[in-house]
Amino acid sequence: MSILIDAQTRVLVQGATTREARTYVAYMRAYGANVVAAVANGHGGEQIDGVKVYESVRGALREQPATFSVIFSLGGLARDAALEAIGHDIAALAILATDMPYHDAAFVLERAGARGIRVFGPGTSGLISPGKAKLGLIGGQQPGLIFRPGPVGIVSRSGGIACEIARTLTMRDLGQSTVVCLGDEAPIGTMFAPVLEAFENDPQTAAIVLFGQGGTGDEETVARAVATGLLRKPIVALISGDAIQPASASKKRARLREAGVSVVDAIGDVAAALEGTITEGRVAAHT
Amino acid sequence: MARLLEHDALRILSEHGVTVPDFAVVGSAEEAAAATTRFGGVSVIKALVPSGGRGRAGAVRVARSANEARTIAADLLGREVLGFQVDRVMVIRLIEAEWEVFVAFEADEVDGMPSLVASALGGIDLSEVRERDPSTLIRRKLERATGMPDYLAREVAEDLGFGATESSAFVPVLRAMYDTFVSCEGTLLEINPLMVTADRSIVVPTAVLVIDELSLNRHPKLHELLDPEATNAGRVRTVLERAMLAIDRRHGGPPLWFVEHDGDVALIVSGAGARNYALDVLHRANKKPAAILDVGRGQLLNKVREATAAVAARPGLRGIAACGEIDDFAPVDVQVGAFLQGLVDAGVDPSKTPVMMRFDGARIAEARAIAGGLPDVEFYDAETPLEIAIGRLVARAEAA
Repeated sequence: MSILIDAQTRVLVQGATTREARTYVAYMRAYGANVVAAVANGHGGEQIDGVKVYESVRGALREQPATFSVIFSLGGLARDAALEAIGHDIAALAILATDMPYHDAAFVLERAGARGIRVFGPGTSGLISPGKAKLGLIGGQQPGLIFRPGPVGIVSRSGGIACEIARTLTMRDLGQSTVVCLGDEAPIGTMFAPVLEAFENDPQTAAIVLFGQGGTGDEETVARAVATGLLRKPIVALISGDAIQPASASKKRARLREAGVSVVDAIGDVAAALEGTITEGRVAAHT
Repeated sequence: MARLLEHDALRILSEHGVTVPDFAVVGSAEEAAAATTRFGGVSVIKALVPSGGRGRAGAVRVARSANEARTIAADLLGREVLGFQVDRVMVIRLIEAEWEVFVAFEADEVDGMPSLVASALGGIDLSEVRERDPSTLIRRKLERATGMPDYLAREVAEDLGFGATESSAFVPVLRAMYDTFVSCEGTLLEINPLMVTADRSIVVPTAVLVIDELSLNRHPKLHELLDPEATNAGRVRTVLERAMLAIDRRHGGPPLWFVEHDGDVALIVSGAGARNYALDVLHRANKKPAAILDVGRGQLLNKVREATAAVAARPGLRGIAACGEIDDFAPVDVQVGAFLQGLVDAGVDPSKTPVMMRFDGARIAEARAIAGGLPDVEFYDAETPLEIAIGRLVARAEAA
């Protein structure tokens, strides 16, 4: 298993004619993502990498039901694309834009929350379940160079650091179940706690890596969930922010440590911290 | 983030129905004296610069007479305050407060959603209170669906210790502040202090309004008021920062993220995660960055080259690190070529100023060969963790 996405997940792509979308939709499909339809205003009837383009989400869904939408629309255009997906109750969205205006993001997240729709980002690099599917930018053209299937779940504020961590794990034969990028800047929809809960319930995931940063984020909530036994799988956490928000970063580390999370200081230390907890894809502490 | 000058913020609040004191914006000591006379012979004089910390910098002073106003204005005008040249001062009628509180609309510190923050202690330094005793702050999440409902304003009034009369005056003020925050697409609207006067009315004598730069293209009037070129990271834009903005504008494409500091190592990265992580590595090694250039993803190669040259030519550098994020494994030889050309354009000699590059992806062998075109460039792929690659550069920079 994996969490959130696999090769069966029916994926819609919005803002499908942006430069990035034209490149990355092909990469997503080549890696196994089941992209069933694309949406781009003014481009209905065209094809993107063999995927039919529709004028509207409604039109796409009439022919191709989908449960996950990857939104490539940039800046001020991301709001309407996200509201369109929310309006049609697509269960989960990934908003890739790193330049979505603040109030647009807040409004979209509020609407999604009210309708029970899961949002990743804005500013997420995407999600990947190695060997199955990837959504968004993560891993680019050759995700196989960075990721491989295995027992480690990764959840990260940063796409770049998620890849750095995954790469060090893959080099030491520690594959990944799913890698989830949340987005660098607040506000973002999904934070750590719900992703960790999904990893906790995923039989493939034996241990979890969390990359957080000072300032915003719910690492404190995670610490409480670990302390109270809601999260029982081993977690290795790396928190950046010493240069910019030292007080917040060290507070987050302290809370996580107190709860029993293994907190490391460098990307290069993550694999070693994990190795003690995993034996043949199973959790040492729970066997 | 773009901060409006205070008189613009007050005017916008007043247009939304908030009571603000009489004020005048003047460019001469004589006008300051005349305005003070108009306001009853007593005023507060403030240097008009888009920055916090003016009080501590001596740029906010009370004038008890027209003469004093003349002296204060003459002293402030033409001076440099917090790095900004003072061309104009604001003269405000002095308001006697019975009671002062703190009210702000801002992004929540955990999830970033819009929040109302208030404190019964007017005049506090919010960042200090957050560090020391955040429990004394009143925080309420705001929802667009409900806006700023009166009941919520009354609850906050109650929490602040206001009685019935003050509360009734406070409710419409809070509603108007919320409307301002939302309609201007602010990321911060801070009133510190908000004043209750002897006749139990509410007056807003000061305001900080920061606008989301990402939304400015749909607010032409605000865009005219702001001078995004003037500031960067809340202070005066440096010469190099202005040059980088010009490079950005000339080429178009995804925006560059650039900040200059007073250290001696230049960091060139792509992506915020790697940027912050690399800064931490420097920080732990007791090294300060001289400049951080984040070219972002999908950047134009000519822009990368020119921006790299601008950073690399900065005097006083003892090391340069260029680290591409490995997340998309796009062909890296062209990226490395653009960085390398920039270094060559700037005349960098890596035997004197150590240079470290760390890239990975398709065509890595070609990239390594290109980097070898400039002797002594230290080149790593993703086998070497970021912190180790940067650590080695720091060691060489120390030795250089």
